[in-house]
Amino acid sequence: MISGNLVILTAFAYIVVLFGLAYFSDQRARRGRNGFLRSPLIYTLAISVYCTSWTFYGAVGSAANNGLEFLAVYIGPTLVFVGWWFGLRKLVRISHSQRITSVADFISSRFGKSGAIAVLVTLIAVLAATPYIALQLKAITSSLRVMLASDSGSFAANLDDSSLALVTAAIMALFTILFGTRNVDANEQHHGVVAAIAFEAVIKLAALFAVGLFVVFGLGGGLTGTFERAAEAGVTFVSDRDFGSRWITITLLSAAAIVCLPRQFQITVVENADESHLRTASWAFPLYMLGMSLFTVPIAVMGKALFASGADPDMFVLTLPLSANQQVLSLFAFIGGFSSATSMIIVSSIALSIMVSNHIVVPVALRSQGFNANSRPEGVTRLLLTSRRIAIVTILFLGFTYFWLTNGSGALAIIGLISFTGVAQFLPAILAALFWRDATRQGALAGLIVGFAVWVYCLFLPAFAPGNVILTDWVNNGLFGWAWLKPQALFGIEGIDPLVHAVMWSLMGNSMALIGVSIATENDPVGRLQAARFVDAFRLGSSNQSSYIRSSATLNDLFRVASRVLGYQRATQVFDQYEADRRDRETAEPSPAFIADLESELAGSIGAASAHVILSQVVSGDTDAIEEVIRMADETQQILEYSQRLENTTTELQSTAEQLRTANAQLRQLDQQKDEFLSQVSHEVRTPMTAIRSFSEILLTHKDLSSDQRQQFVTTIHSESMRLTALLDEILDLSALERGESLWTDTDTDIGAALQRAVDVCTPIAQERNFTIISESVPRDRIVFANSDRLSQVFINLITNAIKYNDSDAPFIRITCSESDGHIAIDFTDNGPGVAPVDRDIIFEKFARGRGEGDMSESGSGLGLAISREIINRLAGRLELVPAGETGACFRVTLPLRAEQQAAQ
Amino acid sequence: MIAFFLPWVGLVLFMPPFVKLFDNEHKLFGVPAIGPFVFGVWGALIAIAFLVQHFLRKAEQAQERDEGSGR
Repeated sequence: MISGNLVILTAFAYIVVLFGLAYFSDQRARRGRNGFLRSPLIYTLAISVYCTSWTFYGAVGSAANNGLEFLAVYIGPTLVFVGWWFGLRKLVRISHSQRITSVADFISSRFGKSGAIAVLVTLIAVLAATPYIALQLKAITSSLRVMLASDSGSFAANLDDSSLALVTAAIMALFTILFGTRNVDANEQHHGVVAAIAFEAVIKLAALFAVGLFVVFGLGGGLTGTFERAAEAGVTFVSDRDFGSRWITITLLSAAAIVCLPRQFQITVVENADESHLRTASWAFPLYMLGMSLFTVPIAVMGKALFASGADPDMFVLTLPLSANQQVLSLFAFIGGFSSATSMIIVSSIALSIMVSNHIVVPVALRSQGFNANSRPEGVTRLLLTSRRIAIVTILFLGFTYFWLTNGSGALAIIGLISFTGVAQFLPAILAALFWRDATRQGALAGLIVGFAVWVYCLFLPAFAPGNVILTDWVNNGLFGWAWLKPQALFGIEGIDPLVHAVMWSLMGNSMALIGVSIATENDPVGRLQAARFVDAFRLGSSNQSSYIRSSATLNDLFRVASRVLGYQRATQVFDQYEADRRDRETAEPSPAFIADLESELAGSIGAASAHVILSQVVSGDTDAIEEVIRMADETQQILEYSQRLENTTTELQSTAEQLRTANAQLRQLDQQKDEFLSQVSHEVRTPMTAIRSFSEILLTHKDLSSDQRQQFVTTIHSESMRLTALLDEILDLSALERGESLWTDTDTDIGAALQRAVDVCTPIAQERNFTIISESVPRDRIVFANSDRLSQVFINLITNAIKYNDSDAPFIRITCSESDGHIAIDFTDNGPGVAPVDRDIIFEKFARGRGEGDMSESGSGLGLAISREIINRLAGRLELVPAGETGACFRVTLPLRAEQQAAQ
Repeated sequence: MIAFFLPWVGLVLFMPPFVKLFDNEHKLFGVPAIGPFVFGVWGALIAIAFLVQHFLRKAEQAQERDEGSGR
């Protein structure tokens, strides 16, 4: 026997403990000693606000009725959390950099800071939370009823269900107001509440474990024993309905809910102090859920085995220990269930009240009275707090109304799933916000409206049907009696589970509308900017670009606004910080960066949309701001283009510089060659000149020379003069060739004859040196268009070069001839030293000589090959050095044949 | 990479027809086989998630150290 008053007293005592814990934590945080409070462990425990009394009581009920289906509710979130790296991490990163305060703020902020979306999301969230809160009230009421059933003397036992629920709601409202709305925090973080929630998480897990262990080992005698006893009592664990469409649907819904539920968003994203806490939560939160559901099935099976079929399976967690007369344990279980219900109510109503005040009350206040300069300081702070308090009371009252209207009908799990489906309507918009750049404000709005409408019609309203004639008629016959509009069988598709049906149609309509409208419309500038910030969150980092380039506002204006929103103290802090950072105090104009900072600071209190509206009004007006954004975007574009051009130019400059360097090197080489040539010419000219001068001096001074000697000297002078003339002729010849002057006329020439003439000319010199000229396959009747003298000159030059430079024992030159493609090629191959690799490139340059040879007397002017090449080039042919055998060099003269030329023409 | 595939592997294992394989009369540890299967996969997912975040953290710390010493 538990005294009813004891139960009530324990519940109150628990609330007081919670209160004390929250208060103490808040004080700690205020003093800056929040190391433990901001730990990943507390964060993870707080996330488990997901496990409400639905988990605590409802899961057992669900397991008793529908087998393992209840697990789907935890598998969805598990998948989301183990995949945190790709979804949640981005969500948290964006929310931190954009100072997001709620799920409504997140969606509206992404879609152009749209007020309409924020309002719609808030409405959906409030409406969706209503059944959920009713669920918690129902759980508390039912559990109280079970606990009090044995003691009719208690005062509480005389109240009916509705009164109990109302009292509970009132107490919860009071607690939430006391802790959730004490101040308007810069980041909307509530340290005290989070600590209390974490504590509750521990309590509910411990309570469930205690009951579970008792049932399995106390009542069942081990895991196997539990199932055996159940089987003996004729209870088998049915699973024939499992893992069908409902399983898939619920997994999807719960995966969506873990992100979209306002309270989950509040804890997971807004209250997140450090992105790295997600790492811990990624495995610890699934582990927590695993722990919470470990004993669900044994409890359900035992309950079914021990109790008559009429017993409420939702309450097995309580009734099993009670039936075994375990009073302390059942009281503990009651507190566990109580804590899971209260934690949900507290966080939910805080999250929702923030949304209501930021997205509905503030914008309305801004519009109705105008945010004029005459309103008192701290006005907005007070407005925010008051509206939040009223919102909390309203939300809890709505929850109570739902509970009252539905007469507490329906199992806990079913009510919870209605809520899940409602908030799941945010999922397409959130996914689009994170990953799809082209999703537009209109698209998001359309998707939300469609999804919301289908949800209300197909799932929310039918829940009221059992007590309402009109609604019952709707559900059975469709709106206006049109059968295809039956809420649970749209378009005549019957036989699907109502939940699956509603989820399918609402999410499908939602996504289709979002995608379709997004494709048909375009983002406005603010929308584009926000889209980039969200989708590229990791690439951009947390850079907060300013949308106010030039501001017309003074610091004083801004301060007035900020103090009204943030409160005088916080505003002073922010501005003092800015003053401290600012070097030049002379200008009263705030920097764009500061205004952007201020906007995110304000957004932390009243949401992005409202903050944007307020600051835009003060700074320069909406349109100006948008124009600035466009201008800024254009400037960015221009800068990008400019830098790209600059890059191209740099590349060009580099290649030009490279070319210049090469040219310079060539010039230097040429210059060197020219110097060498000049010294060579000087030398060449000087040698005969010296000889001529000295011999003529001898002739002049020595009159007594014999006529033979005189004759000899004069001959020498003559030959030296001839050499000089020849050299000068060659230089003139070459420069004329290079200038392109035609010094001869071309006629049809027999190339064989020209070659033979050259060989004939060279034969005496060759014989002098024991040099063999092997003339093989001399061409006959091969006509080229050339000057026969010039051609011979080239051949002579090549042959004499070969003779001059050949130092082998049996020197020879082999002249061979071949034809191809209308060209005739004559090769002059010798067995001399060949051309050194370094000389190959320059051998045809002017005045370049083979460096290998030491006998300077043998060297000519160094012009021979240069002249030869010029001549052959003029004849449209080629003179080149081709690779020879192991030793020796091979020069090849290629000339076009005359006959071919004519044929070609 | 594992971090990316983990939720999808989990999804496949938890979804029909895969999960249906275990939804039968067989008993494991005295309970219907489906129970150990679901909890087993669940536990494995948690374990792998733990390892993944553990090694990610190690890798990031190593990277930070490298950057730190590079300066």
